[in-house]
Amino acid sequence: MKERRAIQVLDDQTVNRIAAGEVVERPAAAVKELVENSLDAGATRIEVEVEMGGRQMLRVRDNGIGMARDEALLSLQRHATSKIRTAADLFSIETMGFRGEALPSIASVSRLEMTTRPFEQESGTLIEVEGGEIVKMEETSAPVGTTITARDLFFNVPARLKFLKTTATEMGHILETVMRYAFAYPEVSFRLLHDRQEILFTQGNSDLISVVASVWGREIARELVAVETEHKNVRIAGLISPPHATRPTRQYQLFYVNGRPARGKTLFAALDGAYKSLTPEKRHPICILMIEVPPNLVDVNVHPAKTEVKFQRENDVFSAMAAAVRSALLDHGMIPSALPPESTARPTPAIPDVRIPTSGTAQPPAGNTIHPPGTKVYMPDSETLNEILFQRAGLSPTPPSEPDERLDEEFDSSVPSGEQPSSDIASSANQPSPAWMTEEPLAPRHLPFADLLDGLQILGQIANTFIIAWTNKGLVIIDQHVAHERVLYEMLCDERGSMPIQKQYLLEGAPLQLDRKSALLLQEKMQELERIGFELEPFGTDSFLIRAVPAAIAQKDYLGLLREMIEELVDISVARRLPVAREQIWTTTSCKMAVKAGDPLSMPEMQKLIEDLAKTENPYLCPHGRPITLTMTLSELEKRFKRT
Amino acid sequence: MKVRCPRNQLHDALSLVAHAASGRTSLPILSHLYIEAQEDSVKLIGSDLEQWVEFSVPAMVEEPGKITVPAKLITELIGSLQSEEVDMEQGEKGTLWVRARGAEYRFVGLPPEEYPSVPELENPSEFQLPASLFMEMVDSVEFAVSQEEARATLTGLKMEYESGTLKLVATDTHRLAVSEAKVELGSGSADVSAIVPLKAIQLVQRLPSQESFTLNLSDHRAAFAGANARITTQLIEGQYPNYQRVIPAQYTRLWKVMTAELKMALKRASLVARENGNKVVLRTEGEKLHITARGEGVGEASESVELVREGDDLEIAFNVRYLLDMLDVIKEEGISVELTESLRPALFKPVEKQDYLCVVMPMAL
Repeated sequence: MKERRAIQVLDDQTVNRIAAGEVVERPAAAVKELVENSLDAGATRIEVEVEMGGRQMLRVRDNGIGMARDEALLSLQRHATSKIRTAADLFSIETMGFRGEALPSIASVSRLEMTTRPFEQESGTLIEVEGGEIVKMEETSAPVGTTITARDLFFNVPARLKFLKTTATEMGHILETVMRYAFAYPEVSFRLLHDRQEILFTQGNSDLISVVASVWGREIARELVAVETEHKNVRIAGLISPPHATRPTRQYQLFYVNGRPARGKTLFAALDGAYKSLTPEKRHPICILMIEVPPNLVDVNVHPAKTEVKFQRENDVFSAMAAAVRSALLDHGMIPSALPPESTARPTPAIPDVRIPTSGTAQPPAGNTIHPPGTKVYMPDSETLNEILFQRAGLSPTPPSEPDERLDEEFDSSVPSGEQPSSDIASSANQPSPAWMTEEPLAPRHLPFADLLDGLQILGQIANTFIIAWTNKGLVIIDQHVAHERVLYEMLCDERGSMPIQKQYLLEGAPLQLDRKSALLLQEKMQELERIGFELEPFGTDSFLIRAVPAAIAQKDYLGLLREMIEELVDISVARRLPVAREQIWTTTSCKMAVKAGDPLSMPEMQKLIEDLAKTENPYLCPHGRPITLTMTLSELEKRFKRT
Repeated sequence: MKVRCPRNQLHDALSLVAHAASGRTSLPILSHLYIEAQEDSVKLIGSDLEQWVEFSVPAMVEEPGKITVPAKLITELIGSLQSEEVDMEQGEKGTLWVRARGAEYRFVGLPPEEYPSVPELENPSEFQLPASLFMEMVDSVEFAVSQEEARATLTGLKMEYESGTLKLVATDTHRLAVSEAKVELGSGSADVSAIVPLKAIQLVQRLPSQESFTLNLSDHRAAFAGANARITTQLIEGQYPNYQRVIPAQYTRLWKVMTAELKMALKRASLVARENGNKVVLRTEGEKLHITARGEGVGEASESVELVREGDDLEIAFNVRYLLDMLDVIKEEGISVELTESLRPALFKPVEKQDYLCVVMPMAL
């Protein structure tokens, strides 16, 4: 049990030092605050129960130290906290919360019920608050610990209520929140229920790997290797993935600074630096890293949501991260060596045995946690979702999602915006530069593409990536991947589609095991995936069986492609805080199904691709916003060679 | 080493052996061939450490010896010589002289003792069977081997022996082909199975025709030996899917069609179908099997062939490629198709023969 510190009201000076923030902006934020309180109370079991994505009810129950009546009352006042005393304490925070405004904030926007009992007392206290007013307080029988139930969140703040997203989205955020703490506190058993169905359960057996297995799935758990280093006061521990098991997004990168979930450019940059040259570009390692620095060297007070951290000695964090990653990978022989491939042993799975059973067969830990046998898959509220999707369907091609970043990879030019004067290239021709292809980026042109087909003559393919052709307009360079992506995208978007998507059935359903969050999203998007040719059926918790795949990719690694698509979609749905629109699925799909840079193409294949491209509505930009074609007219060429 | 060989035979042998040699430069000796002269023949070996091909060519051996020589060079040279015979002689420091009617070449080799030796098989099960039978079995399932590296076990051909029957199995998760034959066990365990890489199979297919064939299967390797050639291969490790499970045991509809007629009709329909994911629709009506295909912006195809039928009418779609691959290897006049529903697997067999089957999954209608 934790040492008890009595709760007191903070002095004014301290109050002012703390930038007041909007603590509770959505149900997940309330969950976060309450879970943190439970952790600070030394709980070893935390159960979060949610109804309707938290809108109707959210309850956090713990077995922590509990509160006596006076303390309980005090805790409902703003800036009452047991966690810090004076402003000076702010610089050496060791608890999760410290502002003392979480509980009162939640209480002020909900109908809140608190039951709490400290272990040394026989009976507990029940307090009911409605919109901040205490309406009931009585002695009650209760287990040791605190249970806080917030009903009708935002009932008195209709504006806030309006901003809440669909149940599925809000639930996604809550799941993300609980997940983050589950990773940070493997010694605490977490359980999350939505509409009485269990969607997350960890045993609290202090084994991080088993938490990973139950949250992200065994497949990921098997990949990870342990990290543990101490370097100049910075201690880093956790799990990382070897370079061969990376992901297309940062969805699987979690950082904790002194036990608190954290993010920030520093952390990403430090990790990327450590993996530099080990992973392909645009791939990200999986990691769960606990970074411990002396509390006085980190400022967590930067942001009210307390996720952005500032280090006083960033360099130390950088070098510690690099050392940690390097030594972990070296230990497991995962840094590629210069030896010939046949003599380098395949990386052995570093985690020999994942001990935890999946939630379906999980052993309830000793204690009174109720754990129903055989948990069901959580079904999101698909009706609302479909409404939104239908509203959004049939829009023009998506706006470029991250144009700059992607563009920079391939071309050194800017995003094409509207018509470019044709003198653009000509003007730069004054600088005699033979390496114009690399040094002087060509401006993508917006000529009517049908014209470009006039006298089309394909000259060949370079680097198995670009198609070079000659037309009446001049020299045309086409990025084969984005060109194909555009063709597929328009094919998918066109509902009356000239080309229906053909579905090929599999001899035997291929199992697809996902982590909880991806599984939820997939449930939601199943119909859309079916429309593009995948047929899936739920197969136990977080698992699906693939029954059929799009005929176009039947001979490819359809399982891998589907997996990557889902991951990209999960990332998008998190980043945009919106349910993923149908178009987005199509964008991702067309990208994954398209020929890749590096695929050699035959002449007829190139011919077909260019003809198909000419038929599209927007042959200039791929659905992600990258340019597809570059043109250089004969006169421009002549100018460059000083022939005019 | 000093030998004289018939040029044609030497060239055939070199072409096959060079196929096994690796293009990778990480281990330079693998881009060489090993040549050893002994008694009255020259033995050639090529390998990429996954497969080893050994081939013996009759030769007049004046002096025995061994040497290595760059695979591509020697193969191309011997191929472009015009003489009946070729002389090869070991020079100083591991070099090789090649002489033939006015032509004289010297190649630089590598130390022959560094050439990786051909691995032995441990306690193999050995089978003797007519080479033509084995080749036919291989040909009849090879098309279904998966090209996709993501599932390694499916990129090989499964060979299993059980109670006197040798079975060859291939699947790419959309179709499954199984060919079997009664074969007597020569020696070793009577219960054996192996996943043989496609590359090894392709090397076997390149062997010059011969009468009988010895097949050796062990835990980690397999070997295929003919009169003067032997191919040894590493096996693909891993669990091959339980293919028995996907062979439908029952049917509610049975079609019997003339193989050639169906094949020609499908070939024509495929011209149109290829614009539409290779989809062809098969529909029964009375004594007719109608085949239709639509290619957007291309047109439509309609064919009908005679059919003998049990059970109700059915409409079902397939990837025409999958059907043609299978029909191409069926030599029998008639073919039977066992079906249940339009989204359930179809079982194709030569009529009145039990030694071959192919399961094809349909496409959505």
